[in-house]
Amino acid sequence: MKALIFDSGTLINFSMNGLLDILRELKKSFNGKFLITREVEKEIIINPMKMQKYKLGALRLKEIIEDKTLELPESVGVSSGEVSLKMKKYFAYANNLFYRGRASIKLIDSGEASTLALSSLLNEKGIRNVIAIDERTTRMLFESPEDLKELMEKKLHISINTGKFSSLDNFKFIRSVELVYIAFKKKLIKNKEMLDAVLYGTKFKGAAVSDKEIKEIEKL
Amino acid sequence: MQERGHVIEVLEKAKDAAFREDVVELKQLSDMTVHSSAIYQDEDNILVAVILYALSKIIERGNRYYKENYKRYVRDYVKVLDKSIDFLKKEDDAGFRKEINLISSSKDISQDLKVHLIDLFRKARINKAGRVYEHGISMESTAKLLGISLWELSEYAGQSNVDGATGQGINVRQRIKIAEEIFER
Repeated sequence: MKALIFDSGTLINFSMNGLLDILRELKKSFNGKFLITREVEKEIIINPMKMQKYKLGALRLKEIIEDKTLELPESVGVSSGEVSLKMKKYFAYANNLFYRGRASIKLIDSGEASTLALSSLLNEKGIRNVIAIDERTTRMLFESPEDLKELMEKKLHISINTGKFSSLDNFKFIRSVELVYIAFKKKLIKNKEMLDAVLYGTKFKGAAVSDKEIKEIEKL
Repeated sequence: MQERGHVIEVLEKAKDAAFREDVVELKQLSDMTVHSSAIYQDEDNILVAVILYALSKIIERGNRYYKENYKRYVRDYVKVLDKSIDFLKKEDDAGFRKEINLISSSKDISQDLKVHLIDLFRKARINKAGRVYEHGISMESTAKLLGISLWELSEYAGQSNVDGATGQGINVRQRIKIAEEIFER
């Protein structure tokens, strides 16, 4: 068993770019589960259903839950209650790691913390998994917290104190652009010109990727 | 309220900048409160960042869009800033919030302008969210802090190129390898 866990941003990105059929095709050849947490479901469907501008995108995402392209943690024997409980651990860790004076800086929210929690619970069950997340902060927090500290100090023009970085969790992250690359390799994206268009499409809908990285992907 | 003295100083400068119609300074002043917003995630700092940015846009668009309403509206806007400063000096945070919220609900403005201002304040929130996200706060935390949806922020962050370099942690080849490995049969 293996799983790909999606954060809200990646799904919003695919929906806004009209790429959900690519996700469906990727799932068919995945031989595992595509998962979301209840917290992510709220961000991608329940909240945007109240906004006319994003309602269509939310309805499209609802369809891929109904057709079981995306499933909830219960489908792999993990209850949403377990996810919520573990989520608190990551929420507390991430939001008390950086501080200025005595004030801790709140870095992440429940959707992001819940994807980390689900990944951790799957690791405990021996289920190989990767998190698909487009936003930068959560990734940097676990892959290179020193770089995140440096970035924040540079942007905020202050020095930031940190707690002890955790080395217990071995989260693996990919973004929309890596999924697009896999889709290209599986011939779901016809040619290089289309690949370029789709990669930039994901960048312009919020994937944290530089032009240099896109050029590198195109050369692979 | 966090950094009260700093907020008062920013609002005083903003009044002068508004009289001079200096939109560049107003935007800079708005960005100065974004720093505090990212660190302390304090509603009042966020509110100030949003209203100063919105004020800069009103002046920037000026007569072209707002016609006779614009000068009068900016004058009213500055009066509200004045009263807000007084509340802050008296450490009356509730009074400050009540006063500053009058900016978008003035009875003296036309219905057209009112509709336009609602849109303008929404866009100001999205713009400020983009700045907070750029400072290292996660996308979801930022969206909640500014009271906007993740969809709005994703779209804005992508189009304004807020997010580029992502540090030295894992390079794109390593990340592709992670993706290939999980998709292997």
